[in-house]
Amino acid sequence: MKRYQTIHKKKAVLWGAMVLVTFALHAQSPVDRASRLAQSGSWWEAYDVLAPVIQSEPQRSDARAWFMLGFIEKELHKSTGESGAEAPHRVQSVASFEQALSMPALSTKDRTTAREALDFLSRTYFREAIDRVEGFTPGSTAEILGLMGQYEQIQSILNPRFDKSEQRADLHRYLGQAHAKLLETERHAGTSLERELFEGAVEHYGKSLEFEPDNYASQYNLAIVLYNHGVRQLKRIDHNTSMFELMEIQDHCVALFESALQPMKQAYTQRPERLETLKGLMTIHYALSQKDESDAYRSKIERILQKR
Amino acid sequence: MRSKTHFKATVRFRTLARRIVVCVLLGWCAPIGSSLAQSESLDETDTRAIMKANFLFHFAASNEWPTSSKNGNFNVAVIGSERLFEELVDKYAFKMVGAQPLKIHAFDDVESFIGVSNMHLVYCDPGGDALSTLAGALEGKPALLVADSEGALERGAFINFVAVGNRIRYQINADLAREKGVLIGNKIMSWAVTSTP
Repeated sequence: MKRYQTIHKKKAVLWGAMVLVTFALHAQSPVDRASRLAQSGSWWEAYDVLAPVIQSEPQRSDARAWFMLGFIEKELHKSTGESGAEAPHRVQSVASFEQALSMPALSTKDRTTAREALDFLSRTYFREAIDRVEGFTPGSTAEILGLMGQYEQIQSILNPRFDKSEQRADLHRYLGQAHAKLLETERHAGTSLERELFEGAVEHYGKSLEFEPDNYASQYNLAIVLYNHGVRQLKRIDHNTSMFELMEIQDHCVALFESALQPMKQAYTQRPERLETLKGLMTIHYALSQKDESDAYRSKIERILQKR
Repeated sequence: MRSKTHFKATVRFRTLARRIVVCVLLGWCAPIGSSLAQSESLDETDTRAIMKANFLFHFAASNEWPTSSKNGNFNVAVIGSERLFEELVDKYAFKMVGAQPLKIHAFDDVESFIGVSNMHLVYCDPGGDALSTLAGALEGKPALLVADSEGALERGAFINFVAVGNRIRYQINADLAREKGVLIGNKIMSWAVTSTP
């Protein structure tokens, strides 16, 4: 009987403790509850607690609530593997951190953490943009530029003196190369896609030069894209090509070769001893039937090779 | 409670963030630099050879040849230009000129060509005395001599490639061709930059 009473007493204590814990949990603010859940790695539960009330007072005016939500959204972005410029958790995470940073009440510690988190998120945009350039497919340019735009926007918030020129020049040069690489595949020969790829390559190299006018690689690559496109047209000449068509193709190719000459000369001005540039000039002049100029660059190449 | 939780979360986050920043700086930049920073590669195809090969094919196909030349293969000799020979073989060998299949022959120089007969069209890359020697050797034969050198018409060529406005065009000595019994077609005449009527 005594034993039964002891067990019953213990049960009552346990029930009481549980009620107290439950009451204590409910007494906590959504931010505290979300924080506890986040600490245990329950990101979705934390999100469910905080997200629905973030626009309600007092959370709306609480810098730490926005900081916490940004943190939770960032973890959800990572765990869901979402991607793209409009990936919702990443977008909301950035917005939440930005909101937190705009509030003077945010502690110095949280402010530092929020800036680090934003920097991390911006780099995920950057990395994704580069990944998409590496696995480039026609039509993905807008998405790539969107991702890069997000990266730049966040970096500009973190550092108002952020200069995007160098990375933009690089991105456009990579996009130029991505377009040019697809141009090399014969499966696009003579299609409208081939024209789009060529125009895309020229446009991106041109934009790269707008950001960095003296970029050797962009100048050289632009010249090569223009020249190679002319050669590509010439290679399609065969026994079915009429004299009239031949003359038309030649006019078109000569225009491309002439356009290639200027960027190649600019590249040469920057690196006059570089063999690939000398070879480029020799070849373009040859294609333009400018024998003397072509021979002059050939002689330069021979002199450089003799010195080695 | 609140500050303790926040502190732990902050510390964990900062550690993670630092690791990520290091990864970004060390790991991510490397593949970007290595895989995307390569230069485009120049297409080294001989563009002038492509153009000249097509011109030669039209010279073969669009002129009226004497009846005595209309038997067997239509023979084209290429002297001193391996790349032109390769282009012709690649795209035009055994294509029909009237009822005759086109056959391409390569010669290193004029000397190695002397004594060869039955050629319809002879392209000679070297100019100067070598061209004059060749023109002399072809005298009396119904072979059309095509050149790509300064003053080639004066040295006995019928057609000479010239550069006009960065383009390849050609001059014709139609009188000389007529003497050999080859009637230059209207299509060929109309695209010539200069010609003797």
